[in-house]
Amino acid sequence: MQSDGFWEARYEDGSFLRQYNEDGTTNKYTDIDRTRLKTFVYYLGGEPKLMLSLGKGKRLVYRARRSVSVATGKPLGTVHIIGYQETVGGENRQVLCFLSENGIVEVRDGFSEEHAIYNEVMFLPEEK
Amino acid sequence: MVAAFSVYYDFGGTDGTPGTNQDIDALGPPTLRFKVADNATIDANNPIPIPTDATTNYSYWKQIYLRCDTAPDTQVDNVKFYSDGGGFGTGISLYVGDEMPTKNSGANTGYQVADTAATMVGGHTGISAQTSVFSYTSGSPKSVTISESGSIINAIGETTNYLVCQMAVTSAASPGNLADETLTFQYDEI
Repeated sequence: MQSDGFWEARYEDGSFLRQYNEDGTTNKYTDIDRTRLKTFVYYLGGEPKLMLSLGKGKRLVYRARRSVSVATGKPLGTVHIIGYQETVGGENRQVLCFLSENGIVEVRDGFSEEHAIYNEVMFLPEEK
Repeated sequence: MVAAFSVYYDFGGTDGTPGTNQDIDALGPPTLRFKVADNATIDANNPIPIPTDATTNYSYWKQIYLRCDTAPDTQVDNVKFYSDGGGFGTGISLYVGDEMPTKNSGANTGYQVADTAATMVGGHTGISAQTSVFSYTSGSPKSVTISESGSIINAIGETTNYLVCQMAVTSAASPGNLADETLTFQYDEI
């Protein structure tokens, strides 16, 4: 099952890696070459909805945060978390965008541990 | 490939070996009915009686989990569970066990067959305390554990651990069918 949305990792040399290839095969988020990553783009409905510029030291963080109804077992919706962490002056700083399926984006300066939508992801080593 | 999940609950069989792994897609709506019987039948049979004294009557507990039907590209983790914060009214409570007994693609060691309408606290060997389901909301969800390899889900058939839920009724309750309540699983996928 392929979603209506997908990510695209754009590299410094103009090349890119998309989540889905034209032949239907899939690239993993962990396949992204972070040493060459310039911009991370998320598309909804075939249109770019959010573009995140990533310079030196910015560690990309992405998740699809999905909900399922216990009553029906059916999907309730997805919020895409697109952002980065960086170390500034010895402190970790986060910039996070929460992109809803209706295209609305909420920008936050960090995760909120208590909230279902805004709670911290389980970071991969390359995101820490 | 976007991962796909189904909500399941196990019933019947013996401790450690459920008789049936029930996919709720095949039921209802509604899909979960708390009753004084251990089955998946959605009907009006085996209602929880309202006590006439100061005691509490319980449903048989239900052992609920999320199961992967289509594997993610990389992994699913950070599973949460929450309600809409509502409730069923005076005298009626829905509890979830604080512990999450072991359930995964290779083991059902946390499964305890529901053979009595007694409290799951102590009655279920994996549950020593419980919390109202309605205290878990999107603002304060319950973290759901995974005992698959790496504590992630990345293959078809992999599951979360059990959430053990049970309804409790006191003499303050009113008779009749209850309106459905909204419960949600949430997870992160890459």
